[in-house]
Amino acid sequence: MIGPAVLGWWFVQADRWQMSWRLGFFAGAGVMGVLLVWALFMRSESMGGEGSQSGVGTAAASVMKDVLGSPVIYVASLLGFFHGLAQAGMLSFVGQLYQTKHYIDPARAALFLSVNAGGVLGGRLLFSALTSRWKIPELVVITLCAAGETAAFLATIGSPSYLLGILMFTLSGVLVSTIGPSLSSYLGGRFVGRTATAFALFAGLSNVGAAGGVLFCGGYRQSSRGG
Amino acid sequence: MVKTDTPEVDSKTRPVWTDPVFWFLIALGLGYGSIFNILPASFPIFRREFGATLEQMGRSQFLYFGSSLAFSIVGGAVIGRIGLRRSAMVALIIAGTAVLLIGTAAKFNVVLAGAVFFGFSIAALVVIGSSIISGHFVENRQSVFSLQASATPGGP
Repeated sequence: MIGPAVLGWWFVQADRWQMSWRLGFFAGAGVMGVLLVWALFMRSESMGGEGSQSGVGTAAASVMKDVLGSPVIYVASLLGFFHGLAQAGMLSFVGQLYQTKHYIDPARAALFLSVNAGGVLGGRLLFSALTSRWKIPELVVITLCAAGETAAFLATIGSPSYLLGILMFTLSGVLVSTIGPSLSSYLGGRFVGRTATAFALFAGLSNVGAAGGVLFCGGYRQSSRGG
Repeated sequence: MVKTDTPEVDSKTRPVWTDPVFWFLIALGLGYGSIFNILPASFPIFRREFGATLEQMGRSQFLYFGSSLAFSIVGGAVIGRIGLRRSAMVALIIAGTAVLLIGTAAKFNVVLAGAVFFGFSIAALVVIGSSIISGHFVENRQSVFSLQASATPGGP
């Protein structure tokens, strides 16, 4: 969240101070270098063990077959797909909806993104505190929060005022924030010893959902205008 | 430097704040979270320096996400073969090299090549982070997933 802002600030300052914009990229590479040195000093066993994902004599292909043979990966991916579709779709177009519906300026439209990010951050800190004390089944969290998120999105879309829309979109951020970590936790618990394969497949399918969400909303908006 | 001297079983009972693996994961999340969208943030610079068109800049994002998708197919096997720690190190080297490649590019084609490696390595870091949490924080993984995600709001 801070990265692009810092980079944008640097591009402006680099021109002003007659320095190279490339230094921003060198700093990014430096961050990776620091993490690399850090990783060098970590013990393999503390990270789940070297080669633990492949199991004892288990070929990678059979691990993938095993993961793909489980309905859990499809349930999680489907949930991730719709999670990405709804979130990315709303984030991309809620500002434009309010610009058309309530005639707000771009700065006030951009506030939707900021309050949602704030809601996500607050929601995750709160959720982390709750789950550090109590174990709440992941699918219960996903069901309740997805239902709440949907209601908050609908309230945002149908809100008669800008202020109520902002409040509802903040609430949607709080609720949506629990779904990603719960999905990861669910997968981690169901694919013990095969987590790398499961997370890799899950990430790919979820990304398709996020990309599809923007495409779907954009295409629907385009066809609505045309009609 | 950072070493986990306590037995693995301790990670189930002691507070996550005292666990070096937790802080590595937070740093990892902050690290890739701060650079994962470096490409779209640099579009004005690419246009100014290389005269890149909208189509070319869109292609950089396509390659970024395409290579992320490629990782989702081969990533599990690669990590399974070389282990989480070495995978993390390789992914960090590729990510750093990709950012350097983009930062030193004289032509936009070099940026496109960097985007391929960059997308692949960021996807790898996300998967590696999740796998470490699942393997190390078995009992309180739900809480740690949420905390690590807090370090990368809106992240990959």
